[in-house]
Amino acid sequence: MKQYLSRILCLIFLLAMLVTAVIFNATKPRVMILQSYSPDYPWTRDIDVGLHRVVDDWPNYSVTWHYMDTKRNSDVQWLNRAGLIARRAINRNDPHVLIAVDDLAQELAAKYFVNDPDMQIVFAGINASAEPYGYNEAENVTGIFERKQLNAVKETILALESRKDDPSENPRVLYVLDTSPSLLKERVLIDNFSWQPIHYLGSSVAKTFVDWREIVKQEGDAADYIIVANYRKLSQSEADPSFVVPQEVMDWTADNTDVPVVGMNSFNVEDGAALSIGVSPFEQGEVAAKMAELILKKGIKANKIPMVENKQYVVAIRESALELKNMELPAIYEAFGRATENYFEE
Amino acid sequence: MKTAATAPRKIVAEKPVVWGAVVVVPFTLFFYLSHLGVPRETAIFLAIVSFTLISWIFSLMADFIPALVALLLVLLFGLAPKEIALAGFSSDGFLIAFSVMGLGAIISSSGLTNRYTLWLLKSIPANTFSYQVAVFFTGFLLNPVVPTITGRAVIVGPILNNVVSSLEDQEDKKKSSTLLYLSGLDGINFLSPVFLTAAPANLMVFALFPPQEQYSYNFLFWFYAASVAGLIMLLSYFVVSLFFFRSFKKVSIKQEDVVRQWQALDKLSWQEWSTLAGIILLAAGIMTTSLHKIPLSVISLSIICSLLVLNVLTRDDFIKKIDWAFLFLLTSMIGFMGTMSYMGLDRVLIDEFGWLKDSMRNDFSIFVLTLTGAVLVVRFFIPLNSAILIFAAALIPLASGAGISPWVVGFIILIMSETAFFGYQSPYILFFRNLVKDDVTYSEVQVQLFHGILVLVKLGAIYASIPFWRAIGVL
Repeated sequence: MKQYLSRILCLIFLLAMLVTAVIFNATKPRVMILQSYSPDYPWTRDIDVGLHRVVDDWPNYSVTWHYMDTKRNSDVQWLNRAGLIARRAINRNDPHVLIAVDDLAQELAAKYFVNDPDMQIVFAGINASAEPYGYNEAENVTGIFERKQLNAVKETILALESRKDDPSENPRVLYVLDTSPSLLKERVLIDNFSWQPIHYLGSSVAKTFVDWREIVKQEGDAADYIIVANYRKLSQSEADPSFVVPQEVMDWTADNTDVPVVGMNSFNVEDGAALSIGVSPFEQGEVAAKMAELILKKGIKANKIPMVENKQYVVAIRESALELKNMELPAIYEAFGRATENYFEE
Repeated sequence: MKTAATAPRKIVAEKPVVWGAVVVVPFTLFFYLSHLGVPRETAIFLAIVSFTLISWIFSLMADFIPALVALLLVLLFGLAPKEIALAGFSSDGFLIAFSVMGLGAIISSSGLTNRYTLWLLKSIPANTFSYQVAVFFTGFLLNPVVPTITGRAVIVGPILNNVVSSLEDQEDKKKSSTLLYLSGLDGINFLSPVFLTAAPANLMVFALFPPQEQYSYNFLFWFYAASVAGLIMLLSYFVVSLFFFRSFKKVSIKQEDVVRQWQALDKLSWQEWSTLAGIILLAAGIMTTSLHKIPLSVISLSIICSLLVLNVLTRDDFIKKIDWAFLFLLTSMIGFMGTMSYMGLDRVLIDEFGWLKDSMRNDFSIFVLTLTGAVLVVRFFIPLNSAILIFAAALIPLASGAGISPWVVGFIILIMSETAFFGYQSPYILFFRNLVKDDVTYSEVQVQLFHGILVLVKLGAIYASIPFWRAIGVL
């Protein structure tokens, strides 16, 4: 009898444990973070830091991370595959909130879940318009745009220029970019920006490193500053499609022109640029995660939260590269760079 | 696939030349690399790799020991923080391997398998095809829940012995025994790469995947991705054996003994019911993941904890029947690979072997052929686990970098590595031979020839799966 009773009670205990665990897991909030690139890409890495600032405080939420790795691999076949895998991961995870970061995550995966009644979407890192993804009329989408801080870039260039021995009132600026889809999308925003009193020379797209070198040598001499954002999609040449290491591009550019290079992404300085005024990736991650939190905690639809543009930017400085070009910045820039651990002396 | 030899072991393996190499090579390599200006941590890591490789290739010690020593050296030299080096112990791979091994131990020792054997012999028609199918599928169906080939051999061996002993006619026995022996042997391993939990090697490859791939290739998707290759291999196996043996015919067996034993069986015991419930719960848990969102690792851990609470898996069985040596090999390798990634050496590997990465991506068909050839050749010299580890550790990071799924590379390595023509190539062949040697006589030459043909079947199955893999995003 004792044995029989013990077995029954033991089974009841196991059953109760099992049922409770299943209910707990099936009902706890699920968030999936879909990154367009890989975790070691500096931009993505820093967005992750921003996300973690909020996500790490979520109690009992199930958070899944998925990286599409579309920076290193970007041919059509890979993009199709990355999209297929990401959509499958979303379907399997069935998240209450999907945080999709950067344009390719929207284009290849998140847009397929627009108006999904069981899923809210928070985007981050969209460079141009959200319209191509159908987000403007969607009921389940909100997010934060990534707009280059062109005013801050302009002010910084003017500050650099003002400290020259013979400053120009209208310093000439050339924008050189690679063929990254996100850069091509926002190119028009940069081209149409009100750069005055800067004399904006326009933008030149380099498909290969050979193109890049030609542009820098031929058009760079006509400029006082070169602005860059990314160069990770530069193949070696038409014949060799392998991508050039980003540091190699920045090193070559610094070595082969007297014109200082100003980046519009904070990681440009990590790659070797002298200075960058970049969109804060931390803000992108943090704001997106806070929006997700609001949706989950208040139980509201994403479209009740207004889409926002980024407000913060990050100043990064490489002292040695600035000195090489005999450039000097107001002390406040150095203080900002040091405060945010983006000041590199070497 | 036991990780420790069962024969009495000498205190130290009598291989003075290899011991000499273990002393000389790592230090020489370290000083040489340092001389070339390679960073000190990288030189130390590569010296540790050289020690591990030498130990594995020349079977200097049980295969988990070099991996464990390598992990120790990683910690001693501070190459990675403890959280990275010991991450294997908290990994999904470890939890799944540990849990399914526990379940496998109970299945092997409960009376369920004996009951199944008797039911099988009592129920199937008396012809060689039925027996072949029965013996083969017994091993095959055990794949998901008995995670070691030797574990399945323990169950299938006696069934095979029973079947062959039951054949009354000596001529029947002589003609059919090679076919039945092969069905038993191949049933337990031929299709093991199709199920994630079918072999420690599968779990080892799984454990070396990046976390995201581990999430993607849970039990069901692993099976789905492998299903076309598996189906082709399964059908081809029977077609090839039909043409190879040309011996399907009716046979007469001693049914009376079987029926008597079947009738003498007691009702299902508490242990059998619990084991059965464990299998059903595991299967149900896997099938309903989309509803409850509990990962496979936690489902399998729940089952094993329940069986421990019920005392179906006893403390003694927990200690003796779970292959702890393999689990330490697995966790050490996860930690070692994590260290490699922490040090950034996986990216260096991807950059240095860019041509191989391009070959994987652009000439996948040729890559399959090259990999198959390399694996088959290496398997003549290097033991099963070590060969899989070396290939997987080298190629999985490259596959990730090449933009193709590490699963497909791991799957090919597993399928081809399991090929063995000689007993020394695989411990489970020797084990299975020993299990059936008193009752089953077979032609070794025919077995080797048949396995030679199966290599082509495997290769064909891989090539035929490529369009499917492309369609589902594996390639």
